[in-house]
Amino acid sequence: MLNISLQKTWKEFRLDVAFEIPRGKVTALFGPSGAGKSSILRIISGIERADGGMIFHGNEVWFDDAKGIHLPPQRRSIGFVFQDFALFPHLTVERNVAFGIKEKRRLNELKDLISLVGLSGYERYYPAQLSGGQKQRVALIRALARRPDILLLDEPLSALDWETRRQLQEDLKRIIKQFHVTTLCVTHDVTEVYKLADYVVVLESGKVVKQGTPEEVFLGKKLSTRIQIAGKVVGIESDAIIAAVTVLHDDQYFKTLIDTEEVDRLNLKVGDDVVIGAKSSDVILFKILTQS
Amino acid sequence: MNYDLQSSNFRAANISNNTSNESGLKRFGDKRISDLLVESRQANVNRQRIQEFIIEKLLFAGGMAAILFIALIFIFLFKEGVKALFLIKPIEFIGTHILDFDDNRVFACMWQPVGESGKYSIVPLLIGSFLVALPATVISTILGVGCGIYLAEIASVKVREIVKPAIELLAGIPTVVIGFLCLTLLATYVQNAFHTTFRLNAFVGAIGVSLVIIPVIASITDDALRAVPNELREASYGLGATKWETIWKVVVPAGISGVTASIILGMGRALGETMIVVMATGNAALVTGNVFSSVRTMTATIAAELGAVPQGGPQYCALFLVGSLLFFITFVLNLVAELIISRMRKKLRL
Repeated sequence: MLNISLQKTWKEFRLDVAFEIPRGKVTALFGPSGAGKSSILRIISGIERADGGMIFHGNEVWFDDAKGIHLPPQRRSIGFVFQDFALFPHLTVERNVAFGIKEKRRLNELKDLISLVGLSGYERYYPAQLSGGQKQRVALIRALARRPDILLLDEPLSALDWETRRQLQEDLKRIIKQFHVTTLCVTHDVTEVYKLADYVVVLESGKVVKQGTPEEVFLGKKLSTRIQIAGKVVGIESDAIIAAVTVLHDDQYFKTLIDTEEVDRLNLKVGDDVVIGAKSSDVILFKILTQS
Repeated sequence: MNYDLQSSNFRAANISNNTSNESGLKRFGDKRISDLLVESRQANVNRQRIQEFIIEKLLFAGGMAAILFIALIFIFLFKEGVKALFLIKPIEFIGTHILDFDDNRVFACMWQPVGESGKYSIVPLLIGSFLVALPATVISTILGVGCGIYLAEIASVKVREIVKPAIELLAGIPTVVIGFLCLTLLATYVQNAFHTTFRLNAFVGAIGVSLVIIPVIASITDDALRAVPNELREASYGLGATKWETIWKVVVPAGISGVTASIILGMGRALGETMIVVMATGNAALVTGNVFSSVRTMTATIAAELGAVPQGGPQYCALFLVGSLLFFITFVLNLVAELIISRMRKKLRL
């Protein structure tokens, strides 16, 4: 459990937040750009210092302005994954991952760690020789290699193209679950929140405006629907009365019909993140019979 | 909803009507305003194109001029230098057979261009130059790189604002002043400290020269390290590294191409430095490996002798050959630096 309450003022921007990050879960810090998400991450990691407030990690005090406590980043058990990877360009994949490992004997875990993100055989490559997705995998496993208590992800997938991003979301989820690490993930992508997060804190212009499970937060209530599909709007064909909205979820397209008025009311555009919910009382499941 | 659509269509029709009316009615002479606008814009575009053309050619000429000057200097030096190879036997540039005190014929490397049989061995001059330049490079690498790291990574903004201009000021001191200080003060201190035979020696010269190249190295190192993206530092801290670990394992290696470049440039500068070495190294053309011995560098030889020799004579041409050699060495040094940097850049894609 990480307790956070922070205040910091920049020229025309004031950050004033207080929230908790549940242990062993993935918490998303969601909001538009400029809401202060990344700053919070940097303050938690100790790279930046807040003007006031405190950060507790269990019984450990990481930051307490009143008592003048400010642990340097290396004394906080964190792993930081940056938006644009920030791999060390002069070190190989292997050396990059080993960078955060302090104990010599744990260096023999390197091979396992690298194979965990599917990069076996790339140990001796330099970051410049890797694709964006591979770089981000290295960044992730590098952050996890020192076995941090808290994993901080700063828009981990936003520098990647859409295709790679979708694939990496799955890997990210799998690896985080495997490490049972308390995670705070900054994102402005609703689909990502749905995919990764157990809990979401919504930030707007430096303040927490909502928090809860993704459903509670984004739909304003707990949905009682039988089916929910989060995805991106890829097509809207509307006439005067009815509109066909195509939503892409994973590799699947879902098409649904709604009132055109509803499209106008929501100001729905291609590229928006949406959740399709269906309230049917009897959802039918078919088993596909494969010919043998 | 239908009504809405209609009304908006109606409005759109109105607007288009208006605009067509306006452009149709307003005239200037026999031309429509819109045509005039097009013409003036065309004229603007043409003018811009001509301007760009001129600027481009001027810049190109500037770049070419630099290459031309280098080529001309090299041709001139080389032309005069090559004559020396015809006036003096090439082997004599390495050494000549002389009679020693016991009347034995020995092979000796001597620079003694004056007299009946001038001796033109470049070896002592080469040794002299490197005996000054290498220690100077070592001293200024340690201090200059250290200073650059301090400026880029450790110094607060306030300290930096004072120290950086001060260092750059050091580069602005006339070398003759530094030479003067070396000759009068430093030489005495060095002799007292190391009990050297020669009061003026290569080491004194090296310290003097390093005063000139420390600012060069410090300044370029500072720039190179500050160009290392801040995320790398933050990533390092975020992975549990301390400030020192971050500097040595991340920042300096990531900026190593710039640091290397600064050192090689500094060495080129040290080889070419003249005034300080003329004043501080004793100018005795000795073949020695001892940095506390007097030496005569290539630059000092040219500076001291060229004004006093008859033009076209063997010594005159030999000095040009020395000049060509010096030019060649610094040229190769800079080339190597460029190669190292481009190779590192390619590897790290910095």
